Amino acid sequence: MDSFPEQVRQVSDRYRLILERFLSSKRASFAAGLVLLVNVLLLTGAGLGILEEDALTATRRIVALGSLVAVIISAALMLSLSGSRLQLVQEFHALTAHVSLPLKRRIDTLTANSPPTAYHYVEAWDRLYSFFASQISTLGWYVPPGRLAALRTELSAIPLAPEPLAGVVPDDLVTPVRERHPDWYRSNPRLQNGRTSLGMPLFANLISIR
Amino acid sequence: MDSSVESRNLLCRAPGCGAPLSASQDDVGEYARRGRVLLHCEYCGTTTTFDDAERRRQEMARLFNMRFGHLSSAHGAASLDGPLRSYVFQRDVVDYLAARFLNTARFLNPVLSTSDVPVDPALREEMEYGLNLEDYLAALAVEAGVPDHPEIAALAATPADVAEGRSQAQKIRSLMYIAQGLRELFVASQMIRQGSVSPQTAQQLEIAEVYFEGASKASVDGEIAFPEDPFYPAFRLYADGAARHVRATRLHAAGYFVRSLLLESVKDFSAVGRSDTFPLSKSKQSLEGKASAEGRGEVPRRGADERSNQRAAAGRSGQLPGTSATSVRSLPLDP
Repeated sequence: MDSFPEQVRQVSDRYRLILERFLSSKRASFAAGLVLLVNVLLLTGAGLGILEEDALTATRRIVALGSLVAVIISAALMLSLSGSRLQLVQEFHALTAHVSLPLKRRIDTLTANSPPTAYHYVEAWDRLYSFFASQISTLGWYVPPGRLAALRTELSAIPLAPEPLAGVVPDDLVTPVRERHPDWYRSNPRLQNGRTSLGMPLFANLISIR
Repeated sequence: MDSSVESRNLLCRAPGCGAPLSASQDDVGEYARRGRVLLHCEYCGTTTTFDDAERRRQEMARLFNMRFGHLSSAHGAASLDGPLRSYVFQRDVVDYLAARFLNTARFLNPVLSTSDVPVDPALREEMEYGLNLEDYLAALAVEAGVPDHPEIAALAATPADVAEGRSQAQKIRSLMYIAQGLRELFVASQMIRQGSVSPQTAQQLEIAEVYFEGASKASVDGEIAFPEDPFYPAFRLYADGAARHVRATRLHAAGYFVRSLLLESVKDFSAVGRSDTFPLSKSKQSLEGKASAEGRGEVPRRGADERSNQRAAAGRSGQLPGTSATSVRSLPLDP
């Protein structure tokens, strides 16, 4: 149990890396889209020139050919970036299914299914998923560079590892007591189950009762 | 005049009677020599024979039955469990259980074998031995306070028997605490796996911890009272390690991480692991047998030579093996 913060941090690192690559892909996709748009306009212009009887000069031919190549390349790049973003989303879910959930189950076991303590460990994942679900997955085709920078700043501000748990134990908790009064548990804020997930569908059911 | 010893617990089983049975001093002496006692009912005049050998046979049958399921298959499996078969005396059964448990705990910490740690099925089976320890002890039908019973004192031939009886009682007390702690811990583990939430689970862990602490305290008491017995120091380390590990988990559930508790727990367990294999018998012959058996890779067992030595020693002290204070406990003291 003493390695949980480090294990959680490693998983959070991978989550953040995935999200950063997603944002980078969005930026590249935007650039490719811009190139595609400009070249489509150029190609359209060249095409309009062709319609005019005397307009098909050598320069126009070169511009039209170049625009056509640029359109093809940028379109292919956009398709590729879209595919890679889909892969990143799949990687995000695979990381959750194959790494996060088993680790969360282990945390549950070694915290005796204590929701506050378990949530203390996985809060970083919760925030990262919340960021993904509410900010990134809703991004449209056009994302202004300023918005992307703000998202990057917000992402880097999310703490990846949990804070160390308190090490100084109250005296009344150290000595085992066979039957503690329920009021004792109610009076201890660390034992209250009020802290739950922020509501994300992925972890909410895991954090509430497992 | 022939004085008699009246039992407070042994009651006549004749229909409609139930009066306390009594034995004359001569019968007590006979019991010390032959392991059998003739008890009289003053009320209805019937007599009842209690035979140590028969009683032991029944108890061993029960032990085998619990261990292997059916007595018929137990006979077949008995060859696989030579040491247990060779221990025909209840006193030795207690020793066997204690030693077997510690030897098991040396390489498998049941406390650490929680559901999140993959455990080999064979080791899990050994762990279940620890969980069944309480049943084994219950099958012995002995109570920890029995050696102080006046009947025992009256029937015991020598003060050494009484002392040995007390040592055995202390050992049983320690084992009972650890067995109950393991049972509670098992319940806690089941609750956690089934999804029960803290503080209920932490509460269950706390109950287990109380028992482990009790085992530790009983071991400390035994260590003080019987410093020559190697069982208590080793068992105290085990009980301490278990209590500290469970406490660390419980405090973790409450939001406190105490690294020192875990380190101390690991230290205790590794100290148990580093210690020599606990001899299955404290007797000198067994220790010698262990040394030779280790060379052959076998578990030391008390052989026929040792039993004959015991008979000879018992003959010198005027009693037969199996007639010590602890063996007397094999009498059905429960009504």
